[in-house]
Amino acid sequence: MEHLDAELLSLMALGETAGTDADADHLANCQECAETLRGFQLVRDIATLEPAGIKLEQPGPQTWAAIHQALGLSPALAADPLTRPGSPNLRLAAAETPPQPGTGPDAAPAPLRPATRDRRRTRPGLWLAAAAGIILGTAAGWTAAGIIGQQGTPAPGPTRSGPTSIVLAQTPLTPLPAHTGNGEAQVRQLPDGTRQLTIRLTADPTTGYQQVWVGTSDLSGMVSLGVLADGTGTFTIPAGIDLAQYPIVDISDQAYNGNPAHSDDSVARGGSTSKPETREDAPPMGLHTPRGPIIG
Amino acid sequence: MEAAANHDWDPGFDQAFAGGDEGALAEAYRRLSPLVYTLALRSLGDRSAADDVTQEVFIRAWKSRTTYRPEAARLPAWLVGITRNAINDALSERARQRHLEQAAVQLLPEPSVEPEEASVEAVADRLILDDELEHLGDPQQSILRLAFYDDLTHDQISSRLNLPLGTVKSHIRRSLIRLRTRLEVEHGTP
Repeated sequence: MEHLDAELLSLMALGETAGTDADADHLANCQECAETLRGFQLVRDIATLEPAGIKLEQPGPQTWAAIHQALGLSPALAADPLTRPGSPNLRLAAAETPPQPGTGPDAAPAPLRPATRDRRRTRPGLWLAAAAGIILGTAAGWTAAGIIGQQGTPAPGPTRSGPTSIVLAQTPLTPLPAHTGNGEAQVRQLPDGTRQLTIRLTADPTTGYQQVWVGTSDLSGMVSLGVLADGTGTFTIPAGIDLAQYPIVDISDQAYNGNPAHSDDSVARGGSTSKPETREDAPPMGLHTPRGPIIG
Repeated sequence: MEAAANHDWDPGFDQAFAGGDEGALAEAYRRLSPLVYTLALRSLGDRSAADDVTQEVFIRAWKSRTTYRPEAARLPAWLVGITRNAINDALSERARQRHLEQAAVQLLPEPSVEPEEASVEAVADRLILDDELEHLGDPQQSILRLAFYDDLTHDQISSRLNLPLGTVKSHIRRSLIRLRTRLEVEHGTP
């Protein structure tokens, strides 16, 4: 008998009711198919892992002291980051391991440059839940539930509550030669199905005005979504635009000359991913970062 | 969704780290050293060795920051990879030492260490999968997110995203294979 189709096994792994009685019989007797199913189920289980309840321990302060010394870091960073003032783990860390002289929590933490970026941004999805729960929460010896519970609402990722909007894609925007502006683009889908592109771009020596485009991967086709003012903006993506066909986000420097075409002078650009595709059976990667110049 | 926004891992950290911002290293340590340390502790069984691995991971990471590409992997996933390498190195070194000494002086795991290895490994794996998922691209990524986190069937995803059923099913299959492969690579022999 033929093996079960991998599509069917995928749906089964996701908990869908799929397949016939004959398929179920086959699965019960076929080690290979059962193995494939288990592999898919493992992926699902790990991807939806609820981090609450998994406790982490922390290294002692001598570990950071050794790293600090070995790398010759700035004296401003001498304090163990795990005991940084304001972080909830202060008391716990102090109780577990006596603080080392000169590395007490009093030392001022060095400001982190990216902190000037928009920290209020919500970036829901897996990462956020993981970072919020596992990383911060357990640094304190807390569980994810402890930290997230503090906030009064569950984490967006692992919970099954309906999201208000879905992040469809996200990409860093990197400057092109002669430009400095960088930032991020994010595509969200609102509950009504509308897709919105949000751009954040740092200051750039743009001579004209900045226009936001989505483009084909070879940049032969560009669609203008609007003008970017003060480095931030949200633009509605027309329903007829298939993002698989227009995977590139591009910000151009447009002269005040009334010409509606792309100026060929791009400030920054991004695609939702730039990971090279190596697997033959992997999906076609619509989203990637182009390397060539803009061709009219 | 506002709930945990302040704890978000800003992609700016990745960029700052790659750019040599020492503050980003400290931030990475603050957020990730417990995971690195716990992974090492569960594998190696003693705190001193876990401290050594933690040191090694962050020193190694900082020294290789010029080869780190933020667009290819988020910093946490990258650090998990370095951690697993460092743990394997420590295990190999330990085996080598043991072989040299021909002695059974293997340190026993401290009794206080609970055998939670599997769940901590799963946490690390989740970071890896989160990273892979971010790189799936559209619409694969949104399809899987809807399936994983909103419990939608492929039928519902098809209508939600206005994509043909066959396309949705095929994307699910390919994406699951890709994520599974990433896990296999992650746990492959170094």
